[in-house]
Amino acid sequence: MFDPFAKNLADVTDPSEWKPTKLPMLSQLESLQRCYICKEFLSAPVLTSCNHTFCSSCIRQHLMIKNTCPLCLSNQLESNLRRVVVLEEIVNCFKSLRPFLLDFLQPPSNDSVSSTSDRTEIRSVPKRKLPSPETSSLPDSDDVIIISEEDEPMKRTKLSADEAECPICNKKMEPEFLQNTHIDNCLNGHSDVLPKEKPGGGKKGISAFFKPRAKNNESNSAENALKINHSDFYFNSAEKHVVKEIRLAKLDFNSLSVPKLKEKLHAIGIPTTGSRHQLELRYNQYYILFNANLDSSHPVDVRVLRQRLSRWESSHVAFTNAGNGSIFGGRMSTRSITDKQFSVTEWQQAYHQDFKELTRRARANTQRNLNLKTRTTLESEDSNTHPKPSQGLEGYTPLDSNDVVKEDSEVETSGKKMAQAG
Amino acid sequence: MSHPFYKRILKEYRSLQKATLPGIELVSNNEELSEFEFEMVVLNNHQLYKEPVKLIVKLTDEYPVAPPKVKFLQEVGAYDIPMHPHVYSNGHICLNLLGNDWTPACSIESILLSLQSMLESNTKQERPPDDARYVRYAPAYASASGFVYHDDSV
Repeated sequence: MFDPFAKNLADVTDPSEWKPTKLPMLSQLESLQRCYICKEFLSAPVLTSCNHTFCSSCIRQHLMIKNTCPLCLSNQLESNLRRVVVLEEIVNCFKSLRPFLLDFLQPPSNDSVSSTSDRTEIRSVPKRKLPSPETSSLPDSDDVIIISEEDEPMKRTKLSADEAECPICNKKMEPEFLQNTHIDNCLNGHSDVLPKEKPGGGKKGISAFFKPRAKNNESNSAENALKINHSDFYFNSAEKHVVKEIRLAKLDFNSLSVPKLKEKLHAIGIPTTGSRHQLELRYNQYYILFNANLDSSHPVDVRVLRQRLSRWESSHVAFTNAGNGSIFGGRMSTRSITDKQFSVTEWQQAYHQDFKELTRRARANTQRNLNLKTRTTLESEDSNTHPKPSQGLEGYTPLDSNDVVKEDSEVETSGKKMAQAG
Repeated sequence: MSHPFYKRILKEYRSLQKATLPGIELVSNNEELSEFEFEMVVLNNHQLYKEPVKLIVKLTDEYPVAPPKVKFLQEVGAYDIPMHPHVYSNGHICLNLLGNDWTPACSIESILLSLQSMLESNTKQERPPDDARYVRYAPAYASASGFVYHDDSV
């Protein structure tokens, strides 16, 4: 079966990868470290009052729609979420060890996995591996990285030798371009800058620097994670575990006018364009991203958050025109997250008119530009005469006479203003 | 442009491809992995459901926080909407898992399984009591219609 997603699937890691290794039980250990909502390794894990753990951003997003625990359905409040600092370090530690463990535990290729092997491995492997997993891999991280690149290139990453992946937007490009131009643009929110296709010679050194990021390319690359001493971080930098920054507040949109809402958005440095509905969605998403970031022991820069916000927008139906036509998009998925009583049909109608209005305006604009063009050419031909309504133009019939009249009055008023200014 | 939970969807897709659920097969899906079509054979209720049925599953932008949209498909000469007190004649399904009781801990597979078992445990060959009225005013997908659950026994 042809699989167009094979390339993407290569980046996806899964607990089942332990199944064919010498220690299949590790899949349990890995499952436990994954978020039940996004199925990824827990990032900034938080504990609910029912003692279940999720990624901060995942559970916050869920609680916005429904205030229950996804696992046990008990009632939950966002304010009750508590960070689990040690778990974040455990997960990060396991994540960085994972490729090496996978590699070490590969069954010998000439030997098929037999039923007898199970018992012996469980006895022998802990002796060899578990006593000091960190010290065994930490000292020469460089060597180890090379192992991971060479031994499972198809699993880890699909980057070719002269391609690197941007840690912010995940686009693949030449390492030089990425380092010199793209990263700055990306951090400043101009994600559209794409490299020109250049064949041949990328620098191996630079590409190697970016390579290990392929798995979790957000804040903690595999390489950074290897350099961090997780236990040291937990035990000796305890003061860093306290959240000092102030969280974003939940907004009561019903009591805010659009200008007020825009003020709020501006104050936290996110775009203020778009319809009211989009403003609300954007605030809520940033609210999730921002507060979840505070739950991490390794928070990222606000610029990265903003970049993630814009990436989220580009994938969200409510912010793309494509969503209007799609059967299942638009209506349902763009409902106001905060308001449970929000009527879908009501919003549907409102949005429909919005869209119509926009089309109308766009048409009128094109028409106006067209008229303006004709008029200016007319003026330049005969600059002494005052511009007259269009009956002077032979063979020219305006599609919309109102537009032309408006056009005239506008030209006149602007002319007067000019005269006054002079 | 990709889904915020693209990786999770990829994982589910990979597992769906392996077709580990007996009687359920992924027939097709779109490029964005937001739309899946399944063929389902009801294994243990052969007297009511002799033919396989077809299902369409659509993931919204909020998936997995919000449930996917699921309905049965009718294709003339190939697939019929199964008779069930909770399945409307336009294919809409009144199932708590697809509405209020959805949690992100559920997955496409868990929906398929519960639909399969819903059909398997059925004994009544009938439509919901308000079928005619519902079908007349129904939106494209059931999720917006705000079901009143008739009973919990079936």
